[in-house]
Amino acid sequence: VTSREAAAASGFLTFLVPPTLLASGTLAGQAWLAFAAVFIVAPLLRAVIGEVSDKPRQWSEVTATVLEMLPVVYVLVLISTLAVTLVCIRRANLAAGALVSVGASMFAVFVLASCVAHELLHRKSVLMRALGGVLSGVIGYPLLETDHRNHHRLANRMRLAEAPYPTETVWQFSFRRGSAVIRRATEEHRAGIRSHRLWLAIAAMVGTAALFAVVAGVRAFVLYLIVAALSAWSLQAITYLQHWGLGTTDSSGSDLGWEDRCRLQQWLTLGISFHQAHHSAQRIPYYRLMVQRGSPRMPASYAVLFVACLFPPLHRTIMKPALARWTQQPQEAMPARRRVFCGRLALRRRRPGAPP
Amino acid sequence: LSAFVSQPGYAARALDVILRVARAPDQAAAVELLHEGAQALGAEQAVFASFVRDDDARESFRFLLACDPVWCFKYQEQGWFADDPWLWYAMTNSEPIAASAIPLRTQRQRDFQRLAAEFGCASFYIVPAPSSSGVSRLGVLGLGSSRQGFFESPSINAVKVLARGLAMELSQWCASQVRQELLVQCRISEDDLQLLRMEYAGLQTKDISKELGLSATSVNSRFQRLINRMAAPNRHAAARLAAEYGLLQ
Repeated sequence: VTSREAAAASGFLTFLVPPTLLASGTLAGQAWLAFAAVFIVAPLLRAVIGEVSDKPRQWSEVTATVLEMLPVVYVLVLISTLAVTLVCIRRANLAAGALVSVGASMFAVFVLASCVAHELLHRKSVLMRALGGVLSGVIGYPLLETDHRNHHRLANRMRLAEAPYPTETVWQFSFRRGSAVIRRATEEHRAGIRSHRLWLAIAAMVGTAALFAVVAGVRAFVLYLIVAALSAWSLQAITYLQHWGLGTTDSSGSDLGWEDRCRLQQWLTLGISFHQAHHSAQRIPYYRLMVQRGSPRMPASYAVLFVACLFPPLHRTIMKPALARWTQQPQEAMPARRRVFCGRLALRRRRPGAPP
Repeated sequence: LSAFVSQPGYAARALDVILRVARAPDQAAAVELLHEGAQALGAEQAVFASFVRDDDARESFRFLLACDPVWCFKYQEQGWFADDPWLWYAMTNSEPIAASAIPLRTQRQRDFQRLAAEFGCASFYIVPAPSSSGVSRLGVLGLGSSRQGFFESPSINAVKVLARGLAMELSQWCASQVRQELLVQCRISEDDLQLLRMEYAGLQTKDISKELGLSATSVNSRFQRLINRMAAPNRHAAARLAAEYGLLQ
């Protein structure tokens, strides 16, 4: 293992930061830390940290094995973090404002934890998939596996709510998709398809909710339920972001998805930002995924677009030029609007005399 | 069905097709043989699917289709593989069965069956092609007839034996095609396969290097390149993957 490789691999430890900040922030009375790190610091840092190379990275056997096990470490970290947070809530008897801060940070952590659950659910090992199911339950979205399995099978089919219609807002889409996911999960359960893991995930969610109630009282229980509901909704919103403008009406669907070369985002989301690559080869582990040539590129980070999509006209204003540019020149990776959000890169690329 | 299977030369015609499957040069020839095989067994339509067990992503699926293309189109459009009760039966059972004997638990499954009947499969016979232990690729042959109750006849045993033969041969053919694809895609040479066989047998690097007359460093670096090409985390996982795909047979 070379020091260069160790440094590159250690970047993936970044995804352990949000849960660690949740626990340490709550302990220090600064419960908002994890939320701020994910929604404010990370979008700013992407300009500093730069982008992932186009060349595939070759990992040594030792590094690849460590990276393969990292999501398991994450699950342990997250569970410990939640335990610490619970104890803090109980001891400090937090005021409503502080509870909202804890909730916001838990929300940020849960949304990113869904990326780890997703990675585990794609593993071949039954044990790893079970762990993914448990994690999806803990973060309040036990339907993640059903949702995601069908998302791959029916990718980008607008009619089946796997991609939004061109004029659909995130609010309309999340309602349509949420209903479709619940309907499919019910059907699959009745048909006896993979229902054991669904029950495991539901048990994990009920268990976590019960722990919140028993250890930290009714207020913490309600907080968990609200955060869980928001996380579940956010995952529908993220699907909206990933497939906006790329949906199809034909029978075969497509693997198209918005991608982002930002290295920090790759670390935090375990490669979900290479979404089209993931759709094309679902078994490729997160540390071997790389951006696909000619894929549509997000004009901003997930966090920025997530906030933007809450205001549909703003989201359309950001996305339409990026979609138009990609449609005209799919091989030209950099959408014009990206410059607004990725300053360092824009400065590096700007040549003297070129228009700003 | 009884009248059909008691025709002279019934078994010989089916056997002739079954024997030719292994020599099919490409997918078009395999589909032609599937069509001929289905006719020899009294069916009007046939579908063969080869897939890896527990492949939720459906990436491993390979289909040979000798049936109404509109039916396939509708199947794909509706994403019916998620609810297909016949496919689920084949994943967990090895005994051939008439589709009517499989309980339908959901509305979508009932819709699926109705669609099959609309496209000329009022009676359907499902023939799973299980794999040997350690190999995860399975197959399933589906034979369809527009005649109600055709495959529910007591004479079905005469079809069952031959249909199993056809299903197993098609499964072997598909597996060999997928093996070939994987070898090309991951650029796996015969030397690499030898390394993987040794690893799968539990040999240590020292033993492998002694066996192959190479240095331990050389063995390690060959494994290193191989696991990167196979997108596996380590040599053990690479050997397990190769075994599952039948590369080590």
